[in-house]
Amino acid sequence: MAYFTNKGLSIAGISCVVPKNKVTVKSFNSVFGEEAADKFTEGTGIAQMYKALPQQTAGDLAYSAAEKLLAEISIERSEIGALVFVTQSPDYRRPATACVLQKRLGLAIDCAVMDVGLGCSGFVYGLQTAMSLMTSSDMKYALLLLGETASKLVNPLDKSIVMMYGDAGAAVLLERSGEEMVTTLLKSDGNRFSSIVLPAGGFRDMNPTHETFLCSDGIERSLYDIFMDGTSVFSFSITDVPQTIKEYLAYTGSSVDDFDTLVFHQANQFILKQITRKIKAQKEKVPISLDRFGNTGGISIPLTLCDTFGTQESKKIKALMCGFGIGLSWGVTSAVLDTENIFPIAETEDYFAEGKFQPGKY
Amino acid sequence: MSNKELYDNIFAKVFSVDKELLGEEFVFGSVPNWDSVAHLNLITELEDTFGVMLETEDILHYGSYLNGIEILRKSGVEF
Repeated sequence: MAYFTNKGLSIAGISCVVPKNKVTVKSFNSVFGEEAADKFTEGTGIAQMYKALPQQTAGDLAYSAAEKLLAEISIERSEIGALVFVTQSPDYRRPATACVLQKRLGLAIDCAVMDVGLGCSGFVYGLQTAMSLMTSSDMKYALLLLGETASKLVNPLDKSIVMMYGDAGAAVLLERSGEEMVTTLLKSDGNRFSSIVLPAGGFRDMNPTHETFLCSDGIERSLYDIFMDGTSVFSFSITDVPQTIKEYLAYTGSSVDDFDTLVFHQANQFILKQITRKIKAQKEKVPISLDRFGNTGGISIPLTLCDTFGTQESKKIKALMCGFGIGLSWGVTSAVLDTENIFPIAETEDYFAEGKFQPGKY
Repeated sequence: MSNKELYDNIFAKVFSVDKELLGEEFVFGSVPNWDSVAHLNLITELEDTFGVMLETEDILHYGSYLNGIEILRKSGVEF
């Protein structure tokens, strides 16, 4: 069992941004018809999302979230000992986007930086990775950043996905303080790696044809478009995920009643409802942000926290958090959070203009 | 309204079809509108209307109009 315990570490702040480009599901009426768009919202709960501007990257969104967070919480940037950036939409094939973010944020050379290539489970995995780095060092702070622009990898005529993915960035500051114990459970099942896949562009098949073909679900895609085996992912989400939450609760000797809020990856409202029922939780404890932000992958947990608690008065809350998705990969963790340090979601149109390389200019 | 009428109304609404089409040939794969989103809508409507919580296997294999009646019967819904 991949259980991890982290003592004396806490989440000091959470900040999220979305691109300044709101897209409603209704705006797809002209593509898929009003009835199909309405039924999509009815079934998934998603009514709108924010999509990255053409020049915006996952790194840009994470950078904006980090700058916003560091403007709210006054610390010496030189005391940040690690930066972990979670994304599946890196700015470049090489180097790791974390290195670019280190430069942009003005972090020290003494800061360890790395990318983690995970999607919807990325918040839980990234949190544990950053906490593990802290546990085995004496660093005072670590920065967990997440960014995603999955909307750029979707066939615009794929009605199963194009109205689902939203783009966003998140920043989470971790600090060495307190006596709280953070326990995390991580799982993965590579046997189901093809359940959610974008086949082209990696080194297995770098430059295949862009021609579209009919997939098993009756939708036309090219090898460069994200494919999701809906039945397989759905089955995973409503069986493995609630089972793992139950395992976590049993291991930590806790129950859903011990938590003020249960924040799950915002896949779709049907899956959230099924998980809530299966772990016998009160639905009032399960916040929903996907109606306004769509499925934002690994950012959806911090985004939901910012959406729910970003404007609330200061109070301590105990949160159970569960991320699950592509890989397949999933994890559960919990933490005590001070809502004073969870900030409202901001919109951004900023991007790193110097990051665009021009032929013959470098 | 009988449970059969409620059941037929849900199918007609979710798949935007006339009730006359509902029968043994109304199965996943032969109904053009029966995609993953329609499936979510169907299960949500059935669970909310009949006050049941379907098992995962039943949700995944709720593949036909007639089979659905048997699944609901198993959950205690009388037809």
